[in-house]
Amino acid sequence: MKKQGLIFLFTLLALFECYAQQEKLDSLLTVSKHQHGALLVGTLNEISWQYRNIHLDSALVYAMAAFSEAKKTNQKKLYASAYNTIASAYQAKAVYDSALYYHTKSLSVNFLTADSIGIANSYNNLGIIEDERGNFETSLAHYFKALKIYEHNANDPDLVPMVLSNIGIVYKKQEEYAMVLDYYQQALELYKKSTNAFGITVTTGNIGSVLLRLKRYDEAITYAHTAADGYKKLGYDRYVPYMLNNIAVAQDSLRQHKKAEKTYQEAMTLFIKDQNDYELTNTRIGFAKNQLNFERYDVAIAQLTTAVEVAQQKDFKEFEVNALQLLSETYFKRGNSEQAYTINQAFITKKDRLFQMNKTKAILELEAKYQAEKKEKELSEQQAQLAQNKMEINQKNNLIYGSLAVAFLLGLIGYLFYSQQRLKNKQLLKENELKTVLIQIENQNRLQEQRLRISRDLHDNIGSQLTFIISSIDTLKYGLTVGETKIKGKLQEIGIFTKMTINELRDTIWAMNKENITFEDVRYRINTFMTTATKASEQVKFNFTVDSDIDPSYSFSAEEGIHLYRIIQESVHNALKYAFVHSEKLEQRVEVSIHKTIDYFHVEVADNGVGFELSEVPFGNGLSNMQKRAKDLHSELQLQSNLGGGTSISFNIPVRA
Amino acid sequence: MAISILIVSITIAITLWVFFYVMLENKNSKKKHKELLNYYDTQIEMHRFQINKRQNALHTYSFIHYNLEESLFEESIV
Repeated sequence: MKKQGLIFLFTLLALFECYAQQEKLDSLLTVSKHQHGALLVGTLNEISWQYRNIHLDSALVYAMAAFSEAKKTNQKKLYASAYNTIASAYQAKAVYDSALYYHTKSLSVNFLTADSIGIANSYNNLGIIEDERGNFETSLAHYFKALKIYEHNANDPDLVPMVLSNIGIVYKKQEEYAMVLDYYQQALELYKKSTNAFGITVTTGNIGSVLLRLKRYDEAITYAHTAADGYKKLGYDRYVPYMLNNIAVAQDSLRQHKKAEKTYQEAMTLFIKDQNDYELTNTRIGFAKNQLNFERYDVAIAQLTTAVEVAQQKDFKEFEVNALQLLSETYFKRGNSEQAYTINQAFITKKDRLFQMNKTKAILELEAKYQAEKKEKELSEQQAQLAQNKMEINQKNNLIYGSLAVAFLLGLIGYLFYSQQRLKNKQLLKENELKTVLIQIENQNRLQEQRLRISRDLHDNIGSQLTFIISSIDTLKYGLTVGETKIKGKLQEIGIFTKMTINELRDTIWAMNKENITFEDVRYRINTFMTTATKASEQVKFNFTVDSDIDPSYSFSAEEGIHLYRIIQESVHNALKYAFVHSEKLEQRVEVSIHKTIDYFHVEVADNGVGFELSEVPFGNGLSNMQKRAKDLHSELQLQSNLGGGTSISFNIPVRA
Repeated sequence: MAISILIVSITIAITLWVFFYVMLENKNSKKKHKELLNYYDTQIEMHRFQINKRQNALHTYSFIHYNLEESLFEESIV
């Protein structure tokens, strides 16, 4: 009677399925050997559920196996189902902490996969556990969350009434019967809508039970009758006497003792048939109470005596106490005070013992609850500490990551700017190098241009003036009479000198502008000159020799080149002019040679002419000029001559490093 | 975790920004540098050409004929 409500519903279902259970288990175990992946997880979950009513440890083992398989598939939905199965196994073992842990994990996974029905299932399961632990407020909070989700998302119409019934159970434990009735009635309406006959029957029976508590006996009878009919129709005859017992209690309360007597007898007959000693004992007590209304003490005593005996045998302590109390009252009413006293003593003793037991049980429960709460508190403190440590570690990690990031960034920025600066420096160096070259060449160009302009001015001005002098001298010469030969000669000399001055001016201007002249160029020019001279004096043999090891690209300054050329030119002219006058030699030779030593170029112009006595011949302008040019070459002109032995002029030009 | 991801993301973003900024700067700098070098090269070549031209003209001066006027080749700087 007292174990009604939805728990009763589950119990009923479990009992009903018990017969087929072993057969189903065997089948599932066989099937599981050939499965894998999601199918295997589903089968293992089912095996675990089957084992919950047979062997709890096996249920847990198969639930864990389901989780291992779910891990292999890496499907989060399977994780959630496996967690749920593990939690249910722990729940069945009354290990509520673990059950809560796994249900919470299942809930987290369901949140991750956004499986709304899964979330609602998890909340419902958490509600059941909290209800069993006596945490009614938390339990209701979970149930209401589940209810809200089911109302909006559930395709199965039986889920909402299931949660409503569960809420009713919580309120029933708190003896809030009006609330219980309200929720049961809501559940009943929904079951009716979905035409769930089993749900309708169980809930109707439960409502009848609550109405009995609310002392609404007529309604209680109606509901109990309906439920009894429902069970009969469904073939669950085993549960019909429960309803009959409720009807009998209500009829007795309404003083319909005759009806109640009949109903009790029907109920007792069915309990006897089902061998349900527990409920039979309870019904016997009710029936005995009913018989007292007819003053049938013997019948009552017989029923109560049987009830006491069975209660003692089966350890139904509460029924034993109730039966003893009623038995004592019955004996007293029948006038058997002594017997009544003895039984009353036994009743008091049993009652005290029962009270003590209940008290001890309550204390133990309280102690267990206290320990559990203490453990939970410690656990939450540890979790808080862990969370704080984790947070600190995270902060430190973040700091390290941040520092590393900043260091990396600074390093990178530093490197990039360094490489950029290096590139700029390299570019700047190259630019400066070219700029310097440009400035130098620009200056050189400007200088050259300026020098050329000056040279041109110089040549134009002084050259034209000197030309004018020559022209004037020529005019004067023609104007002189025959007797003035001496003056004419003098004017001739002045004219020649002026012409030489013009040529020297040109050479100087050229040398001033020309930067360098190569040895090859000088040799070429000397060669040309020698060829011209050969043509002019065919009887004289000219020979020009140059050492083969002289580098043709050796560079003289233009001034050096001019001096070298002019000395040779003047020497050759002198040789042609003086060396072979009155010479009887058949072979007349003029030899020009250039030899190179490590330190200087040795230049020599020699002839095999008549020669002369150095002391007897005065040196003219030509020789003076040659000496001056030799001096400008940092050299000294060597003149050697013997009468009949020819003449040679030589000088050395230092080699530049 | 979220902060770590944020730090890494920001670091990558700044790194990329700095990298591309410097790359762009370098590219512009190289372009300018190349243009400047080209300008210098052109100028140097032009001056060298003028100098060579004058020197070649001076080379035609004959030590026999004294043809200075012909070899004095003047050319203004462009």
